[in-house]
Amino acid sequence: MSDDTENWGALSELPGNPLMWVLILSELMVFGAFFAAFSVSRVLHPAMFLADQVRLDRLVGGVNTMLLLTSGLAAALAVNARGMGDIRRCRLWLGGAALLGLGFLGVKLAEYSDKAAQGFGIETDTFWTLFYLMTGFHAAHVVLGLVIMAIVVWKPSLENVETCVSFWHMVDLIWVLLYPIVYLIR
Amino acid sequence: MPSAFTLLRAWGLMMALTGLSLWAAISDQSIASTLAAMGAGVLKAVLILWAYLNLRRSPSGWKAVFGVFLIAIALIVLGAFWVGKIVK
Repeated sequence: MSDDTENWGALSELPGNPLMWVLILSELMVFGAFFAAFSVSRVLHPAMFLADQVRLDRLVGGVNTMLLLTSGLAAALAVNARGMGDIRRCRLWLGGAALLGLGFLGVKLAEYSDKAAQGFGIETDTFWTLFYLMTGFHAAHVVLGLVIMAIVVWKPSLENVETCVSFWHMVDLIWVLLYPIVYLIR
Repeated sequence: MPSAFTLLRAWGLMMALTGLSLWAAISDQSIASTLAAMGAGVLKAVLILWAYLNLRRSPSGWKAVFGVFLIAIALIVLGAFWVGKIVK
């Protein structure tokens, strides 16, 4: 922990830069509100949600879950490598994590284009509005995580790596909750 | 920092949980499969916090914050699911 982060109170007990944890906690609250909105909308429009949810491919969501979890493993191993002073290996693990993140985005883009080709857009009905908002907002976080990762590969101090990887794990954490709520529970 | 073995073990468990929840959802749409899917999701979130983020070494206040968040999400989702079943 660097000197300029010593006055952050409880936040300085978490890995990486405390300001990133302010962002992470805020994002968890936002996604928590999304999950609640999705669940309440399902109660209000059960037939619509069931009819639309069967259009989603649960296996595609499962593949994306596995890609992100494996990316998270590579990111955690990057922190370990940096902690042991092995910058080259840290960069390699971060590169692997980024490639898997790109794979996640590729699958998501293919899913979006498939749904759009079937005529399901953001304005089709409440289900698709929430689907595109939640998964799109999550995908935007994946993109931001990749940008941060690229910067950290260039400047891989221990604090930078911990900060970047903490954000990446938050992206993981949101997805493992989003996947059952949107794709599996019917 | 958790050891590479701890991280690999957590990853393996999360992959297995993903496969299990997918299988449960595809095989039937009962309350049991809903519980399995949400339970697996929450368990994976705990593993990310504990192993990947290494928060098991963080003060108990932080553990409580994340614990309350996960319990609240699970209760809202499952509560809404059951209300939906009753209303239907």
